[in-house]
Amino acid sequence: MDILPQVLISGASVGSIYALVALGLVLLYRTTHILNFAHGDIGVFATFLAFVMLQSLGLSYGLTLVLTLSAALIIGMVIYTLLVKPAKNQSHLGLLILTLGLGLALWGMNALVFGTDNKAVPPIIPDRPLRLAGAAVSQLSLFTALFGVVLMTVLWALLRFTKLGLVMRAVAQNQEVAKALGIPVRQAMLATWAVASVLAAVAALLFAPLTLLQPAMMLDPLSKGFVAAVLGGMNSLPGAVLGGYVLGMTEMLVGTYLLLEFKASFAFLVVLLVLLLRPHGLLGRAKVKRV
Amino acid sequence: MSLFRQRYEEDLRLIGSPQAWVALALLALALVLAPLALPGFLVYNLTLFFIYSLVAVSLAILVGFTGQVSLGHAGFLAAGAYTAGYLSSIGWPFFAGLAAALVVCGLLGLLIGIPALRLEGPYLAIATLGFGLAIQQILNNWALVGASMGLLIDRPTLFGHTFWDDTSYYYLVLGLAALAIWMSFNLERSHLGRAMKAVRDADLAAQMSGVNLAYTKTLAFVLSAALTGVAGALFGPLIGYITPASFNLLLSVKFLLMVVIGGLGFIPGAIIGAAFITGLELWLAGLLAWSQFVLGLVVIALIMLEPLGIYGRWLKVRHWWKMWPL
Amino acid sequence: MAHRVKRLGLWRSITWADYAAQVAALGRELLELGLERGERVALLSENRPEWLVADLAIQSAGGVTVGVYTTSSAEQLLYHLEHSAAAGLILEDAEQYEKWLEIRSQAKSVRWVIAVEPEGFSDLLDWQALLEQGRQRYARQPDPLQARLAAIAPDDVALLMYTSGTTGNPKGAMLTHANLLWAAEALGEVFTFDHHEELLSYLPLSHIVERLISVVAPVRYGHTISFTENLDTVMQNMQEIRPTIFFAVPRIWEKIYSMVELHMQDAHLIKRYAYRWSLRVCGGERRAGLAALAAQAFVLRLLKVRLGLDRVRLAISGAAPISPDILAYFRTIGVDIREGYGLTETSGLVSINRQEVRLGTVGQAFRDVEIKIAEDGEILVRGPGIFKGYFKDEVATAEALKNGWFHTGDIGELSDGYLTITDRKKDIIITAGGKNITPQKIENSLKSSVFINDAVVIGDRRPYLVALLVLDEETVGKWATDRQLPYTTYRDLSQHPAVVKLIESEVARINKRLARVEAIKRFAILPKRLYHEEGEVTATLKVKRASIAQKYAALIESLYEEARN
Repeated sequence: MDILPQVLISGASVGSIYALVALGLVLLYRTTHILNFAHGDIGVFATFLAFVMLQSLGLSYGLTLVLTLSAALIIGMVIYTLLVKPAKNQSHLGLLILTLGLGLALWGMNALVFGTDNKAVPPIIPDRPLRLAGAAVSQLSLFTALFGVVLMTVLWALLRFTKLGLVMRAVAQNQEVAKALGIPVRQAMLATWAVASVLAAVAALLFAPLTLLQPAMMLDPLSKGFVAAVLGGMNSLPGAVLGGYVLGMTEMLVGTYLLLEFKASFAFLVVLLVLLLRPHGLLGRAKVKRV
Repeated sequence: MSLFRQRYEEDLRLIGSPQAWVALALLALALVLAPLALPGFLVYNLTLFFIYSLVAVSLAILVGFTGQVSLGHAGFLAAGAYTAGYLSSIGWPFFAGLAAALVVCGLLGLLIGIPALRLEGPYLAIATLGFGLAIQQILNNWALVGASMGLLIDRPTLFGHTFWDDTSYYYLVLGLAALAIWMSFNLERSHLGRAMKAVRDADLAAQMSGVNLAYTKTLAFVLSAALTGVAGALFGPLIGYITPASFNLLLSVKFLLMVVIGGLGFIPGAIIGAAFITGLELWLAGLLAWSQFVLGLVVIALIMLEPLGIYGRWLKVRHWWKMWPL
Repeated sequence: MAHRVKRLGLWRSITWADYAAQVAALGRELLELGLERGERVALLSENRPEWLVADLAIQSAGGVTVGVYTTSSAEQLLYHLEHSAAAGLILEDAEQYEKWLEIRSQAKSVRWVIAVEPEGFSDLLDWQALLEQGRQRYARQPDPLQARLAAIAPDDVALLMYTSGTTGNPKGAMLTHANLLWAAEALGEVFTFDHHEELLSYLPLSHIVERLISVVAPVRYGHTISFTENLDTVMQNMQEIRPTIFFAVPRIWEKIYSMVELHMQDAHLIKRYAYRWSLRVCGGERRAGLAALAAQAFVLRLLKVRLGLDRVRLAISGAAPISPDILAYFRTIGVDIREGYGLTETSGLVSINRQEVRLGTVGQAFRDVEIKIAEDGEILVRGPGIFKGYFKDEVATAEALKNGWFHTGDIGELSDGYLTITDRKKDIIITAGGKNITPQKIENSLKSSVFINDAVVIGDRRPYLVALLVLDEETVGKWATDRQLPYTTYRDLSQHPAVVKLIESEVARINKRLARVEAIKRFAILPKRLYHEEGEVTATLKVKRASIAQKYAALIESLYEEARN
């Protein structure tokens, strides 16, 4: 029982990452109904940039962070402008395929430019154990968890208190009416893609120190992020957060106390059961289909 | 009197004109003569293409006909390959193993298909994604089938002849694949096929016209999974050595890409998509990163230029000619 | 095959044996219902095999068929029933039944009503049931019907055709069996019919020409008649049946032309170019030369296939004057339209262009027909096709038939036996300046514009000519949409300033081709289409001048008002 705090913190840490990924996915899905399979690869790209800045250019963590997130912002806007906007007449499946293609292309590009060998990203704070409530807890995990929470709060503030956030929420609620009311829908989409990309970058940056940086690094977190988003409800931001933490916690708990090998399958089973009971996720709302 | 119809069969015919017969005959001839003219590794890749076509066609039935997106078809392929592979390793005859693969995958399809009725759009897609990952993980930890070390599978033996030779195995796969694809075409023309498409286009209206939604959608899943299972049973002996790692999300994604890029909703489209992607990978074989990069770019370009896929574009061209000069 | 009918997407065939059996069955039943020799029976139905069966059955029983246009209103139906004192009525379905219900109490002469599709009406006789009974009765006792058949004399009236009276009430022209038999032979003398001709029946059977084509000629020559599903599917049915003989009123030819032109406007660049090029190299003088041959083979022949005109050996236009531009267009694409002329009172046949087509004329007289031009230019006709007279209207009959010659009411010229129609006698306009104007020519020119569907030229005893125009909603609507001009209804469209400007330029363009006196000084676009039910056009869509002049008197006045100010 004495490893429970450690497990919980690890679960929260991993859950933060899943939550961040899920947030980015849900934010985008709410507004554009696109399942963005390139989300992970955008993050990986940003992380590679950060790695280069840290290792080769020797920049400080702060500056690297700022530059990397700015780059992610720009990438998001570029993707929207060049790919998504011109393809606006596509079916949902078509747009999904578009993001799949984009993901593949980015993966390939990352591999070509940065190489497929594993790189170690130095963590922002050393991974030393911390004594908390009588148990040894990973400092890095704690930091990851906390940073995740801070970022989610910032996002919440953005959406709740700024004009841009209001516009984004309006467009997510009902695009047609928003257009009719003169709300700048395109700007909202642009902003959404930018913010989602930043979220992707942060999730990857937080994840990198916990594992090894290579082009396929975010493949697993992306899958988990999708599952978390679906668990919480694809059109609910709080749901994404909840789903992320629930998934992270479940995985850690099952992995530690039950079967390590099948922790992912078990988590999937849990999610499936939840979906059977609530087909639109824990906090999702069913859309009324008008005939 | 080309538009003059006196019987419904005239519209439903599979081979609609003498030209179509000729084209079909030429295609058959080319496929049969190919191994004699091509080097060994191309024969191998063509066989792989046939198997992938089968998967693509089965996915076309699910995604194209009923509109249910699956990102986990690699899981069905794995299940089929492992079932047939394991059974052959304990001495079962090839066709028995094939049948078992079909049944097992059909049941898996049922297992997914029933909960899938409650899920829509993204929820269904992600659920199938999870399914694919779960299958991979289960196989990875199942000692009986070799866990992460994988399974060695021999070429099948029929009536005393063992298909070690790539060319002979090519013909076996060609025969079975052609049969399965012909059956898929017949499914498309049948009442069930039309019901499936009705479900995709307007499920409420279809339901009110008497289509049993649950039955049709679940059946689509079962058929799709079963067909992929058959493909899996053929896949194992071709490669010779299968590991859970090769049946990953990327493979599922590639199958979906084949269906959509080739032409969503059309069986020839799925086959064309399979040919396209298999060909592209072959061309860029060895340069993994380039292969993914180019594939990604090509997918983006194709989907933006022609949302209906390659076969869709072909149909547009054909229509343009048919209407000439109007 | 006698008939083809499309049901549930498939073409079903009816053999000659079936057809004959049905006629005998119904004929026998009509006797049972009490139909006397010479009594009239009204037919109110769209084109379908049952219409033909009914027509021949009525005649077999010694009766007289009165075809009523399906676009008639209830009052118009009542007029027909009362004037002809019809003993019975055969109607198609609920739509026609509604009209009958309205006037039922006033149509005292009608003793029984048969419905082809009873759809649950209990007070009507069921066609199917009657046919069944008739079949059995005829099998047991064929004699009464045979007796009636034998008793028919050539001079007995077979059809009572109400002419599309452009002035006043329709008059009932009596056509005898002899008239019809002659018409059949006359057609055969001019055209060499093959046993396997395919024709499409889509024009109203109450019109004499359609009657000759679908009922009379097939019985004589064995043509197969295919019935269109409804007016909207004519083009599609054309593609399916690909008739070998095609008769159309000018409006239909114009419609085909504008349909192709409209389609080409949006067509792919290559197709547009190929089309225009083909028209250029094949237009004008006779198609010769390599370019023309290529155009024909690769473009125009296929165009005809798409239109369903590729097997047409005989293309005829009649019942109204056709614009020379349209004739030229179709000749260019390889459909040699022959213009013909006839009236209900002449059994539909007066003259036709034979092999030697002379454009602008309506051809030479049919066999046994004599044509003479009177002093005032009126065309007079004599021959075996002349009707017996107007039913219950001796005055009109006397006016029309003088000294054995029928006065057509059309003005025309004769040259080498080729007849040219100038205009309707009554329609000739004499302006205030004393000039003689034939409005038909001007109206035709106006109608040759794709944007104008109908035109009425007014100017009798006026200082100048004005025109009332009806827009072609499709073409003008598309024109407006292409320029993103918002509009909701036809009325909206007709009032839109941009549309008015468009029509202005069209009228100006057409005016250039006309003599100064013929030019249209002012025009008004009518805010609505013209309908038969409202008495503005006849059933064959010929404009009723007097009624239009009366209805839109205020509008016409305003056109003359502006000038004075």
